[in-house]
Amino acid sequence: MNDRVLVNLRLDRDVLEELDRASADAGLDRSELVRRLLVDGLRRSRVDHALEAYRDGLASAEAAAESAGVSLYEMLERISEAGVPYRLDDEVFEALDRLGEPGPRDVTSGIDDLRSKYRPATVSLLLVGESSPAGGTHFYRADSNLFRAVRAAYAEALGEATVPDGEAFLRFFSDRGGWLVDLVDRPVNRIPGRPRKDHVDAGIDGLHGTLVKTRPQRIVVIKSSIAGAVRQAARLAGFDDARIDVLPFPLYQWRRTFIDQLAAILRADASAEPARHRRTAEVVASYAPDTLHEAMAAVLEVRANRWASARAIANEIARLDLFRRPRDGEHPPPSQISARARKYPDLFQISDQGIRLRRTTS
Amino acid sequence: MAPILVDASPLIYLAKLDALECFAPAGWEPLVPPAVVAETASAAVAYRFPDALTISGSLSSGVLRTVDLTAPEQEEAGRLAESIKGLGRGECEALAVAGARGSQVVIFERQGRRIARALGIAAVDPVEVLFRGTRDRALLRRRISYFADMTAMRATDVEALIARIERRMER
Repeated sequence: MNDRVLVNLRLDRDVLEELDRASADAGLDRSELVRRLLVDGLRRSRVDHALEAYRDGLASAEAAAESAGVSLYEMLERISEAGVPYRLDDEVFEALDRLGEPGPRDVTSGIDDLRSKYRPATVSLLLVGESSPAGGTHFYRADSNLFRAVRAAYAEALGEATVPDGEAFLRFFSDRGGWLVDLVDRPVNRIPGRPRKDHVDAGIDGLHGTLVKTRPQRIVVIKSSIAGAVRQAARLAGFDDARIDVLPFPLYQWRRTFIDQLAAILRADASAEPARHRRTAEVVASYAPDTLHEAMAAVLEVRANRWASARAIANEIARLDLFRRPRDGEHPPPSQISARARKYPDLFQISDQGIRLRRTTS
Repeated sequence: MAPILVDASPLIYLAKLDALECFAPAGWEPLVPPAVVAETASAAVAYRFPDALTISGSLSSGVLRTVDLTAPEQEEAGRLAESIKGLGRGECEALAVAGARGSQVVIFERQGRRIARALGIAAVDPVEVLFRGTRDRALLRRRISYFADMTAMRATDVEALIARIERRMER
């Protein structure tokens, strides 16, 4: 039996008269009718409160049902009756628009054949990308951003007149030992977060096999987010970590950096003079006089040219007082070190692990 | 087929639309956490809301599959419930499993999708399930119209969806 407590309540006379009429109609005594009305009213109040929370975006339909003490079915009915609109966001429409685009199978259709067709007998430069783009373009279809940026880098390194365009470039690229593989065999560039990383990690074994079979002289990783996976595959294959470069994907402001860096790599590899026999001092001297990069080179040489962060180089320059900015007499900050490294791609190699000299000193 | 977690509200609406079979042609294997089963397939509500019988029947026949949470997933669901007020227990379980297993999640309401995305989980709207899983043009139109009526969807959104159905069929 319920534990009931006696309460006194002042009511307007006309309300009391209406209660008496209603209790007579229902065949209930006045107290019982008031109890029932109060219980029902409280329940409605809880539902109304939960509905308000849902309408204001403070609770989901499920949370609203839980707080109102009703089933989710009932809460969804209340939401519908209240006319609270279900709102779609731009992402939903974008997802629907993508449904009409080629599916993963169509996007990658024929890519393996093209990749095989342009595989060089000896791979000297292996570009490693993340995946085919979801939009259906591809390097080996000669129509992607990556294709255009790689071609531009070759043109910058070897001369525009030397480098063909379109599909002829694919043959040109292959004849010079260039090959592109993707870590993931399906487009992942529209997959966010952890699922995307899982796809990338799943590609490590495949890349390991490719490296064992092809033994490239140099690996260029396209996009720093996959550098860890590529390094892992390279370690498994016994590949020298020093021969891995990491470039940004050539989009927006990163396109220029990609082209400069790849062109520098190509120039270094194509150099008639073997890089290992060229002293850093000679490379430094080949630039216009500017002592900051000399200071950076000196720091890296002292560190046996191990990867160093821009901050570590800046700290060392300051500690040894190797260079001060002419305009204010201050030591250069890490951002200036990074900028200088990007400006002199023939001298400095940049990757996810930091900066070092592109050429090994003798 | 790729596993996809399904939350309670989308499940109920898909059941009302007789569209629980949409997952397979869309390439998804729908997984339902225990709290979502409790919210949607309870015998206690089956008389008033027969869609609960449709959902429990789909669970029995294997169209939907119940997924058990591991201990870390249960912990994560509890943590989500504590840290994100306004989420239901079923949503927390669906998000915890999807996050741990790298799966997508079908979740209702814009706020739910935003939370999923903030947690690094790919969120799918029930409308996308209908589009992916309904090949027949007339049936898709009917389903979208009925879904729009039930959810008081804004007229501009309905028009945009219908326009996409037309465009898709023209291709």
